Amino acid sequence: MTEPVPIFQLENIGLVKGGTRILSDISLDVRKGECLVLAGENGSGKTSLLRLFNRLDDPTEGTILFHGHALREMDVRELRSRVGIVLQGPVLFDGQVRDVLSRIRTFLKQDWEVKDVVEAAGLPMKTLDRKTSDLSGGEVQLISIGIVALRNLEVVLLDEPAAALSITAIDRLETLLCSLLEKGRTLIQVTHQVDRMVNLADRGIFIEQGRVTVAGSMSAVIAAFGRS
Amino acid sequence: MEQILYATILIFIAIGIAWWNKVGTEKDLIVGGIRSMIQLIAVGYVLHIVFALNTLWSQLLLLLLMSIIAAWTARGRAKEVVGVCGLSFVGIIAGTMVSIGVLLATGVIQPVPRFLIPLGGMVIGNAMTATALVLDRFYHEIDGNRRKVEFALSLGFPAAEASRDYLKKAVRASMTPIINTLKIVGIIQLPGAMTGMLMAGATPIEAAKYQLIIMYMITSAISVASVTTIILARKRFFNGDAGLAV
Repeated sequence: MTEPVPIFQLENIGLVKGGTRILSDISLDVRKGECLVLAGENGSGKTSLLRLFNRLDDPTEGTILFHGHALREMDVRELRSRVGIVLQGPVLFDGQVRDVLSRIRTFLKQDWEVKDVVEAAGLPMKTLDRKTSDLSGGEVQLISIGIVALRNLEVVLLDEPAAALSITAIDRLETLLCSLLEKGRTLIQVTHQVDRMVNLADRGIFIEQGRVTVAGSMSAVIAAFGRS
Repeated sequence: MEQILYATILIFIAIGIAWWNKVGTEKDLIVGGIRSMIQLIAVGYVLHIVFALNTLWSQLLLLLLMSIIAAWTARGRAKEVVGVCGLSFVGIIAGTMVSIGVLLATGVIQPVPRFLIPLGGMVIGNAMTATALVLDRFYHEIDGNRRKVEFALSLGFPAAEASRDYLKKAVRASMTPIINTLKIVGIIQLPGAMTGMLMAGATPIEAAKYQLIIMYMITSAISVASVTTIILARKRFFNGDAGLAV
């Protein structure tokens, strides 16, 4: 049986921003339905790598293929209807939560209701009547993750999704991520909390100074974290 | 010439006050006083030639030159934006063509130097300020709201939608001074053109009529110039619909 084409293929990726080299010579395959962890110390380049999958930035060297097609040549809005991202310390538009979610739902032509997002996020329904500027970082994080969970995405990219969350909220997040994996979604997430990801993640990579130094099992990544 | 000499006493009074109070602006006042005299006398001679030629081409050439200098000046007022000079030039030309064009087409003014040059100068000056203001404000709005803009883009919003609120704020900022002026014109102080016409012997009604035309002309010029400039500039802030380029 032939191996299916990876959902993402990164070939010798390099990134230079503002004259500074961020990433060097990264080659990586991401398979459909897997949970891949990108780990590394602060400033190692893992967030920069994650942003490339959604084309918030484009690599300055190498090629990224999505289902075998060059990412750069794809319509970016078509790509983003299939690959969603929750950035670190996420934000929402200004306004009442209900109106903000309604704007997103209408613009993206989604069939979920605004209350579904709050429900998926595990927040009380009265959150809909609050202003986004009054929400805590954790609440915004959960709503942002709730949005990507409800969208019919192939790949979900998460940058430190547990960063601003309480222990209870992290449990909620893990349940959400498990349900996404059960639906066959592919998850790529940047995290410092590699220990918590052992059961969820299929494999991980460890990035040091913009280069992948370890690629393999989570135990190998945890060991690399211990050494760094 | 005698009148200018007498008026010079006034600038010396300002220099004297600055010197007496050790304000430290004496040198700037001397330089400014001399520069303004040289510039205005030079402009007077240039206009004398254009008025004497009395051809449409000489008037248009002068307006074009004024627009280029204005666009160059705008460059320094929105330093962070790449290509301000070109963007501002297009905005100034668009604002000038629409506002002066409507007045010419409707016969409100004639294509003669005494109308075209002073009105064109007013339009170009105001359009220059508007283009610089709109670019500077848009840059700072986008820069200050990067995460919100990237959030919108990451969802699949096109760049135009992701930056819509910030574009509106920038245009509003460029329009606010003229809107405020429209609301209070004539109440607190008489505007420059009206004052000039009254001093030159026009009737108050005639002066008010031309002042109103000027105010409406400037309003339209600012509106067209700022919107044209920012719509063209927006593309430079983004890599298509993908990400921010600034």
